[in-house]
Amino acid sequence: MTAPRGALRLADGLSLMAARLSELGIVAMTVLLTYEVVARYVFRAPTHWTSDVATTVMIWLTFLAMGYCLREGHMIRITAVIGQLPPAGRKAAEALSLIAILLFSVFVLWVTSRAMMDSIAFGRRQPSMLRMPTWIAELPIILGFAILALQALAELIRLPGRPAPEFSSAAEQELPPVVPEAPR
Amino acid sequence: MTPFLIFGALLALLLTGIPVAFTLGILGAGLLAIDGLPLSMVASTLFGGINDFVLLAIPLFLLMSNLLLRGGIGRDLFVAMQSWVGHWPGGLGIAALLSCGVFSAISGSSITTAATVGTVAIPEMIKRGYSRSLTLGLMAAGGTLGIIIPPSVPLIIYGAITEQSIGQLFLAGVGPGVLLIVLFGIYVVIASAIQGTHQAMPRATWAERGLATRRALPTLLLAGTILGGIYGGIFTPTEASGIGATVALLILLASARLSRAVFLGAVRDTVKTTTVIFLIVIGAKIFGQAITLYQLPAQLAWLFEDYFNTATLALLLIAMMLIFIGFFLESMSMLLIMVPVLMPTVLALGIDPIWFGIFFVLLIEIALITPPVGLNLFVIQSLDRAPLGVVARGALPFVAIMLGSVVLITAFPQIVLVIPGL
Amino acid sequence: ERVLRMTVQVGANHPVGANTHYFADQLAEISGGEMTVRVFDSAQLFKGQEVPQAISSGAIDLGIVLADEYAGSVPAAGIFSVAFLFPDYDILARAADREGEFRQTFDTLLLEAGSKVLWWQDYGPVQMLSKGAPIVTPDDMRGKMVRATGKPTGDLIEAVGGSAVVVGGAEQFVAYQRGLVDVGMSGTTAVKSRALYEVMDHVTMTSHGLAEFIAVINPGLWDSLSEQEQAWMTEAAIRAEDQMRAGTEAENVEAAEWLAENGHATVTELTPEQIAVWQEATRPAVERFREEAGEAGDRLLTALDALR
Ligand code: NA
Ligand code: NA
Repeated sequence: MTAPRGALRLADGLSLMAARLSELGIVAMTVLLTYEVVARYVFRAPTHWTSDVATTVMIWLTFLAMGYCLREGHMIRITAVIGQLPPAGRKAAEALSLIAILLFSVFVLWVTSRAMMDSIAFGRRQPSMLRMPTWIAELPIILGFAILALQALAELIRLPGRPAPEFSSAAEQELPPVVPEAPR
Repeated sequence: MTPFLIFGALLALLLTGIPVAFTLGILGAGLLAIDGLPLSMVASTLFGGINDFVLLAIPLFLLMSNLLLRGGIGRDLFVAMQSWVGHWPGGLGIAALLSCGVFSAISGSSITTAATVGTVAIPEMIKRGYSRSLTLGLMAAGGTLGIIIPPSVPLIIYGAITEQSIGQLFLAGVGPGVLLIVLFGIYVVIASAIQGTHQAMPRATWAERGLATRRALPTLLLAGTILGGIYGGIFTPTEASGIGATVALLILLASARLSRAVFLGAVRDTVKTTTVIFLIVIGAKIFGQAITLYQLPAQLAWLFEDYFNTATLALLLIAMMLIFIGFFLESMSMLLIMVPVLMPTVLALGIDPIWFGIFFVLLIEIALITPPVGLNLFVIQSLDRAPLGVVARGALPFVAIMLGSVVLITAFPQIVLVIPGL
Repeated sequence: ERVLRMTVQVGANHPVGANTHYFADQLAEISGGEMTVRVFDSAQLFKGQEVPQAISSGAIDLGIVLADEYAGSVPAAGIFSVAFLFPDYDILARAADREGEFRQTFDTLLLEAGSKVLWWQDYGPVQMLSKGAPIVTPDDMRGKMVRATGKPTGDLIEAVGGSAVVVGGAEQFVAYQRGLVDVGMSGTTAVKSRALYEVMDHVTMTSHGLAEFIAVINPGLWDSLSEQEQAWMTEAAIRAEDQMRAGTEAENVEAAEWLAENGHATVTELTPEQIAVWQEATRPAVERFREEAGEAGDRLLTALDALR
């Protein structure tokens, strides 16, 4: 029993760590783009690298956060039908979703890792001024889907032992938090 | 037959509750496999799908508005607007509407706009005797201004997938955005006068106005900077998003509202929303490529060419189609699935793609406030704990006004195209 | 019967897109209907920058790519945008000779990057655009923000003391309209078709680079074709290339005349002496290319010199 539990913890830990990196990525992007405007207007010397680097950071942060988004139930889905099901039906629906995500992730890992090997073999680089090797922006897709696959598997293993998931009215996953009035 | 099978399968899979992004990706990959098409297309799409500089604006505009939302900027705006127009007939409604308009200029999302202003405006309006249905409908509809007045997440995505200029699209949204504010405003004044239940506010003193305005000033300036900066060519929309996020942070810092919780919360929400939106972008692209290879968009274009070959007739049909889809489909999915399907038709009929982007976003706004699936209805419902029916009934007149504005921009495309052409 | 799929990032009414449909028609005719090409235009499947990867991985059979898109992986492939190397249409036509050293070297480079070249699409020379006053001498570029499209144009701009700002095709119009950059670069026909003259009132016919599009096919697919099929495709490709080349010069000249005659923009032609000044001033950019493009770049430059 300890080995699977360890594996579950590993999946959670990886997802969380990756999500923290994604948060850092948001901050890095803000800094990069602000720096670009300052460089252009204050120093009249636009950089040749901020757009490439910031776009790459965006790709990393998007894919790295997938596992965490799954765990926290943020994925946008249509719950109009499954929300009405009895507990056993809701569990079955959740299992179906997780299996679909798991299988798709494995498929993506298979096709993208071959394609990334191809990029490395051809020494492919972006045609911009920075000439960044393209695998740098391809690797996060593989890492991200690996983390997502692990997390989906972990959720699937946990599903039978948990109460049936609640799917409230509809696409409310996207709602922002109701923020208490800030102190002044 | 094939189109019905494919869209039937899409609908069935969506209803099983598999996340939208994965439904689209799985169905797309499945369609490729069935027709013996190369699956490496999926890899190419995953690699290229969001590798686009212009998409950077989405996370950063989200960060900007999330910071301001959590920092409690909504109240400042509403109080300032109220101090100027609160004593008018229907004044609180106008103040709420104007707050939505200003917050729209710093937020790219309709739900953030609805939530930010709704949180403060709904209790105030109800306290002052405005009917619940009018109040909730107004806030649901006012929130949708968030995606027509620049910045706008759907317009950025539309520009990225159709390779149109984000700057042009943003400027094109200004005219229709102002039109909606004016029309909504007229309706609020008339409706609240007819209901006659609300109490007028006392006129604020000049000192009160000065104080309230000073407090809201940084936000007003930020809104002005972003729009003016894009209009004046000082920065690109993407750069504006970076500057906007930085300035929002500075505003919170200067007004001593930047706590660790506010900052981390805003960053976390931004990561979450960015990831789920971009996953749908990629899933929709895989699906879009598959149906393109099945030649569905081309067949639709030929159908229009043969039977409905005037722009007006085609737009009427497209609008009806989108209104119908908008009842059921979440707005981002609607944009990402339908734009690639419709684009060949739009181009074949010689419709201006910038104008069509605005037309599409107006229809998304309608989708946001029509039941059973309307995100803004859900936001307002969660703020007020009112039944969905009450919110939806209140939003109905606004749906009619939006439909009217769709007709107006079709009859007078200048409403959309004058400002970007200046 | 064989059906091939082709991705094109521009519309069927754009010269580059129209040429792919011409190719498809020719191939159907030559092969007696044995081979069909289904063209997916307007970037419905892939954007231009995604095409090299999509071609080499076999995600799509055929595609159109701007030569510069390969310049990241193979710097020598950026040669069409290197400063003032192709001053006129004749040099380009000679460089494009399928038996010639330049063509064979270039096509081999792309094959090594995973794309087998079918034919070249000359879209024409690239010019400078400006507001207020025409750009005449390299000094006019000093301290200006100039639109760059990639590494070679960036080097050119920096060689004459300007600041390179990368602006994509979609944002080009707005960047000029809103003054995000002071000086623009664009093909002559695009100044007309993209209505750039509405926002840039001066066009200087520098012809400092070429917009060269390349039609490519997945190499594995090519090798799997029968000799007969390869021969059909080559024949259709040669026809498409000739059709494009014949049309491009006429269209570019016509666009320039249309701009000047209708008062849309001033069109400034440069004298050979003025061009020589530009060539001298931008020599560092050519040297930069020589360093970065290595042996392949040397071979291309030498082959090009032999054609003058
Ligand atoms: Na907005
Ligand atoms: Na709806």
